[in-house]
Amino acid sequence: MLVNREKMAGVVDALSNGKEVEGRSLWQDAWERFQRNKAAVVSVVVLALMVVLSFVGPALAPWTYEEIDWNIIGNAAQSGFPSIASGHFFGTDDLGRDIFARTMQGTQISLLVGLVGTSVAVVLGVLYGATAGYVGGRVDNYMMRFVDLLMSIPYMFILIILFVMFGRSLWLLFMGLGLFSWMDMARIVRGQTLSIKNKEYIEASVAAGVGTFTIIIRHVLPNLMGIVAVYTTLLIPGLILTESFISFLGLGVQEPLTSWGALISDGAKTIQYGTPWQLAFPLGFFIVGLFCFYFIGDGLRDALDPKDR
Amino acid sequence: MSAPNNRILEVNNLNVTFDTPDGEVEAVKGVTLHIEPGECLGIVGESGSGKSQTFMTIMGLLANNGRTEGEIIFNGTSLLGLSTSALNKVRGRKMSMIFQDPLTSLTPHLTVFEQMAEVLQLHTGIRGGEAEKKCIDWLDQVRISDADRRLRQYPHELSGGMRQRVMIAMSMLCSPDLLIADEPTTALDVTVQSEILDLMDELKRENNTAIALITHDMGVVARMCDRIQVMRHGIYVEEGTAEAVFHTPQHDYTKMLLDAMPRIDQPDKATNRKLKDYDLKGRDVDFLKVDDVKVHFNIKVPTGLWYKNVPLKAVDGVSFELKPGETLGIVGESGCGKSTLARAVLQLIPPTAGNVSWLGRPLDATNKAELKAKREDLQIVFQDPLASLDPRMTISDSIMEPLRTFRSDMSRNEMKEKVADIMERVGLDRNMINRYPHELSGGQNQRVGIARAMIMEPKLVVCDEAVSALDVSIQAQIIELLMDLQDEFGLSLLFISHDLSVVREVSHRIMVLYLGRVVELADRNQIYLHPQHPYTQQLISAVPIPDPHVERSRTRIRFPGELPSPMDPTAKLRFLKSKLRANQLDYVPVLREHTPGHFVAEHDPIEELLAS
Repeated sequence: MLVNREKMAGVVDALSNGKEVEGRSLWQDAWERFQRNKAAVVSVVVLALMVVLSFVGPALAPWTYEEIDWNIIGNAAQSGFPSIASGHFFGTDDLGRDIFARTMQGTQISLLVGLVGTSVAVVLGVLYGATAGYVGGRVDNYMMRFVDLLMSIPYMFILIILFVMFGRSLWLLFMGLGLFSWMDMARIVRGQTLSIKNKEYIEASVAAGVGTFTIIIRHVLPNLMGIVAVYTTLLIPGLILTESFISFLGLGVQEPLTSWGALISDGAKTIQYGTPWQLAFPLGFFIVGLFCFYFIGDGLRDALDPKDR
Repeated sequence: MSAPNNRILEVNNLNVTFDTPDGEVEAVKGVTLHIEPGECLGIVGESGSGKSQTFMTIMGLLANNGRTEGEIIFNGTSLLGLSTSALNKVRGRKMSMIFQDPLTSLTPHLTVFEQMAEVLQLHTGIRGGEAEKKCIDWLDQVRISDADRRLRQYPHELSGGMRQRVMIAMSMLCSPDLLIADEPTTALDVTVQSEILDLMDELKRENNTAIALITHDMGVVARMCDRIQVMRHGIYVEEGTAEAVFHTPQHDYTKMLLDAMPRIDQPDKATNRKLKDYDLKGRDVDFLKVDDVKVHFNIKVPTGLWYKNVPLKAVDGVSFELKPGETLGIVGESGCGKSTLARAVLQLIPPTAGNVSWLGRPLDATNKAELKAKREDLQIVFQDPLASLDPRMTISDSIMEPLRTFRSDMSRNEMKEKVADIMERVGLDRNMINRYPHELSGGQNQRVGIARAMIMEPKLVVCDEAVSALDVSIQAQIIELLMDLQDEFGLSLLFISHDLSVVREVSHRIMVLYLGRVVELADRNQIYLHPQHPYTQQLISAVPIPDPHVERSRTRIRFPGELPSPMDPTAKLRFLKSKLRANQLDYVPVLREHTPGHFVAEHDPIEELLAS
């Protein structure tokens, strides 16, 4: 049945018309599948537009984020409303500062916090969790107890000490946030790794002589992608919110610099004075941004699962 | 044949269609069947033939996206279009079903009694003491010893065979007219299977219950069924009495099924080729040597407040030698340590004690680099073809993996070329390189697994139940492929299986394991024609033979009791009760050479064991 190799080859040639089928990688397939997910693609476009706008926008606006419009100060409810004519596209806050310019500036900071902090958390958490889960035994035990230890430390306290020791800087804020949010990721990833580790295909790779580290990179990590993608999309908004809280404490982003979180909290405080635009515009950006992240995460999870093809 | 109105179940021109995202799938196309009281109808077919769907429809258990057309008449009432409450009066009471996996079909958090009482109360209103009496009565009838105590136990406390018996007792509680058994013994060991089949046969004769037996195993059918219907792609291709179907099959598909089924009494049957003798000339004899290997796992057993570590001796002192180009079959029932032994040989599980030597050099995990280099020649093919492939890798990447490990000097294109070659060699289309495992059938995935094992042209391949999960026709093809590859590359195989017929087909020598120890080791024909150890005899006699004449006239050797747990210290002396009586609990039966090349473990005379 199989012995007739020439016949088999003949059939193959006939089927493929002599054309070789190119090999594809998981990533190529994933990209194709991602493109088929309309919501995710739209989200990427919207997010990209938001980023571009946040850098180009300030150049188009007549006001910068720190300039005060002295005509409006103290009278924002009556004359600070959004208007093209006055140059305050999104209106002003009660100090007469341009909300448009400030929202653009806040978008930059918030997206940076979300992305940098999350990358730190994802890279650290996934590597740490996957290693602990895969190696197992005593190493796993010690590694996870260390995580428990870190989780029991009030991170706000450490962050404050860090800010005092090294001075306030945006990068320290980003890194600090990342360094204190990888533990959850590590735990989730470890749990998932434990179940992947006992699958037969891992045993097959061990039997094929593949090294431990290569197995983690080649087999464990791709199979973790789904859960990591979902958790990451939850982490980004979480970090953006944490940043706004730290800023509120007076430790994070400092005036005149701002962020989505700071803008929203300002807007919420002044809503009773009849300036709803102060809250509406930053909040709109915030919601649209988070929705984009959720949809992208969803799209990524589906794209990275070949069963969905 | 009796008058049609005597029929318990009559199905006319049944069609079942499923709406799926990929369009409509016709699972059952125009099936007609009938069953009379006290008759056993066998429905045979390979996976995906719609045999289960037919009976799920009859039970009213069709999935939501299914549609049915046709006629189902049970005891004179039409079942199709009946409301759920009306259907519930019939199913469970007049018609009950046993499923394949006894573990998943019993609710884990209810005791046996609670589950049985629920059925009784629903259908007959019997409860309390009367119900208990009835349950005990049925448990006795399905030969569960100690029924009183078993009633209070949870499903996980019972062995697989016992669970299936509870399932049968449960389905017989209301004395149904029709018992539908969907692969009732597929998940069970041969000796247990044989007991369950006997039990069902008895129930049929004593209570005049009609049985519809759905199975893929021609041997089981030959043993049990009066009439047979062979099903393929949703239609019946052949029907007739058991004799007629087995001895004068009409349809090509039936002939193919019968041909592909390995028979324990006729080796070299399922495949077109005979197993070649291996020759020792010019080959170094010091190939693979396994010396007194032990694998013990520590199991935590609660002793009052604390847990105590108790060693579970999965493999307890196994020694054998393997010659180049030879196939050694390892058989045994579940829990006998055959898979653990294979993994210990390959050092995937480090042995607790004992040595494995490979080409004269010890094979152990102490020298990681050396072990890794040796893995090039040692490969393994797993039981579940889908689970052994990374779901996120294309099959060509999976096959390429050993190349990437051992031949980093090869360029990517050379590797691709080699992968394409080996894929063709194992019968996979070159164009399938971009497929993912879930897009292929079980047989194709197993070919991928074999291609991955063969790409380095290894010297030893361990096949751990490599064909057990496949349909018979595919199984025959895979066996043939393995034999071809053995010829071509001169490789040695360790062929592990619970299926004795398959093992006889492929192995030169066969080793029988019982609870981690070798009980018999001999040449393939020797062990089947002249089995010495009572356990081997029991195993061989329990294997059903796909021939109604032979199968029904055989006498079976049966030892009382269930297959014991490996944690039970007396279990290892089950065939040496004299030592048990002499209170020598630690006695280890000695493996003696019965005739040259035929090793048998010490045991009491078989007559004595059967009598006890």
